[in-house]
Amino acid sequence: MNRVFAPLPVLFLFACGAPSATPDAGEHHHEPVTELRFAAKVGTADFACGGTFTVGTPATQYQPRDLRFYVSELTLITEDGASVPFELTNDGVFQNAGVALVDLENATGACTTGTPQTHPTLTGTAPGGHYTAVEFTVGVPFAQNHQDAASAAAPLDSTAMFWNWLGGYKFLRIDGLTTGLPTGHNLHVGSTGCTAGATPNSVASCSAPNRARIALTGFDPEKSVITLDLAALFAGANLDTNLEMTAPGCMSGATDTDCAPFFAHLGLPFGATAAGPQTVFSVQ
Amino acid sequence: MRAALISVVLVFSCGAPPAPAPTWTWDLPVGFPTPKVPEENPMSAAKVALGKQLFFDRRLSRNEQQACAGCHEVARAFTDGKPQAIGSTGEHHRRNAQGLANVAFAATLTWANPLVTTLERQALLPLFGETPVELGWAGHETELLSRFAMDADYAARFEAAYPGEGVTLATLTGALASYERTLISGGAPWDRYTAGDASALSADAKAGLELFNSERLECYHCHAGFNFSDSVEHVNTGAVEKPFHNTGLYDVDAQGSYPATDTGLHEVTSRIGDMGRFRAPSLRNLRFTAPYMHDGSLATLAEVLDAYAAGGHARQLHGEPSPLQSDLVRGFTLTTDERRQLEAFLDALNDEAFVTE
Repeated sequence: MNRVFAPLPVLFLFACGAPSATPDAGEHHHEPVTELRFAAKVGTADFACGGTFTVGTPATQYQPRDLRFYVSELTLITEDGASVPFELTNDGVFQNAGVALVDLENATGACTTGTPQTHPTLTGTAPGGHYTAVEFTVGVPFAQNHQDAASAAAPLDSTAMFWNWLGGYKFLRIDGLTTGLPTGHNLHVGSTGCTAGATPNSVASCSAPNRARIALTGFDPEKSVITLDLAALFAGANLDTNLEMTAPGCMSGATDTDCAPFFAHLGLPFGATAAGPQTVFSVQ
Repeated sequence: MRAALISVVLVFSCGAPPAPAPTWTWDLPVGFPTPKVPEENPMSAAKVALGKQLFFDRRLSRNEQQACAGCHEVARAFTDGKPQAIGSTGEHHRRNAQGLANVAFAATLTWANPLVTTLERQALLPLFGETPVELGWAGHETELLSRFAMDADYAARFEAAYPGEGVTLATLTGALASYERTLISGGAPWDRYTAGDASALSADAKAGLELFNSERLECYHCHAGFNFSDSVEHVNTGAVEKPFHNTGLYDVDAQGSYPATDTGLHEVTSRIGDMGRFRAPSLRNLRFTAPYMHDGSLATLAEVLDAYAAGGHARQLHGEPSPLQSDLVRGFTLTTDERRQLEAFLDALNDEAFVTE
């Protein structure tokens, strides 16, 4: 899909005859937006299943096993500060009902729970306008998160993203093998602290929704790639050890202190620590 | 009634053959209420037969090494005799495999999860769980469904059970749930006693019943009613209660904490007060279901009784009760005769027929 739309920026230049530095901002007008591109990097290196990356503190050798996350509530922000929804196309595989699965693994290397298909580029529509920022939520909206996974439509049919013991989905799944944890370091972010509702299998509310709202400025819908940086996500975290008697890595356990750095980097609160700015996603 | 009326109307209005009448009839022991069944998955003989075949089929694990019955053996009242279960790939579970007798009546499923209340939903946990791997299907749902869809015998059975629906996660888990709802255990001496046969309980067992129901021992609060568990739901249940209890099994920090490996209800709700709270299992078929407790940490029934007599296992070890344990677990002293009587009563809850079918 990237290849198909690559000529667009060029067309824009010819059509408007002005690069984005023109002083008359009111003249800026992007074509309708039909794609949002995602990618994963490890520092400056491209992420890939089968690769080995140096991450964490102290540094460890990290072999990816999975990298997928749900996004929803995608919004483009105009230069005037107006929010314009990016309406996802329903493709029957990776996108439906306002939720998309960004799938950056391709089932090669150690990514054995994955799928050969990837989905780095979201398709949808937003009207033409001069957009300078993008916002999205890493997560599945509450109304969809606690449905019956066994009969859910794609992309909420991915059993690798099921989180049935907590009655929802993993919003973000980034798994790997490290030097110190050769059987697996898993980062699973999803809602915790959930209480049951009145109807069967239902959830009334969750005290830790753990949906990260990401806002990125400097965004150009025709050029920008929304980039997740594993080096930033794992910065300051020791991926070679695991808090004794807790999930291997971080599975969002409220008392699993292994989670603290990851949650901080994603801009999520953890325990008594309030949310700060996220440092994992950027536009490139 | 409404369904029957509609069928009649259909017959007259368009000459179509009548819709199949509901064919499922529960064969329930005296004193048992009718199980509640999700409206979207009514019982049928075809579903039960399919679910039974799936339950005992090793192909329900990805590596074809383990069936549901691998951890839920009939002869052990659907437990496995191990302290903690072992999954299809050899990974050790942190919990004891639960018995499935009368699981149709459990208000919540697994040891401590208020969010999983139907067997259909519960089946997703062993199928797709990854910490630990049980049946090993996470990320491989297409392979799972095609394995059974490509099998002519199974395809026919799915078609009979769920006409036109095919092999889906919903039909697969629906069939398993339907079979599990038929695992009714009500053939113990106790059941014959409640049905009117006064000779079904020995004098010791009758004395043990009095102890069980006494305010001295307090057993009956959590192990209540026809299934000896207070976590019960059936067709006549009004507002469903979802009870969980801290029995003082652990207190690793004098503040009531359980080992971080398994904090029970707390790990679902994150509420401190839910630390160490688990669902009270039924006391039926205890002779076949050792070892005991959520982690299989007590090997024998004698150890369990010792722990409760001491006011909780933590108190037995440390001398002090857990600040979080149930106020009904406060300890008691039994004479030798009373101990024998209590054990005789518990033994009268064993259903030989249930483990030999």
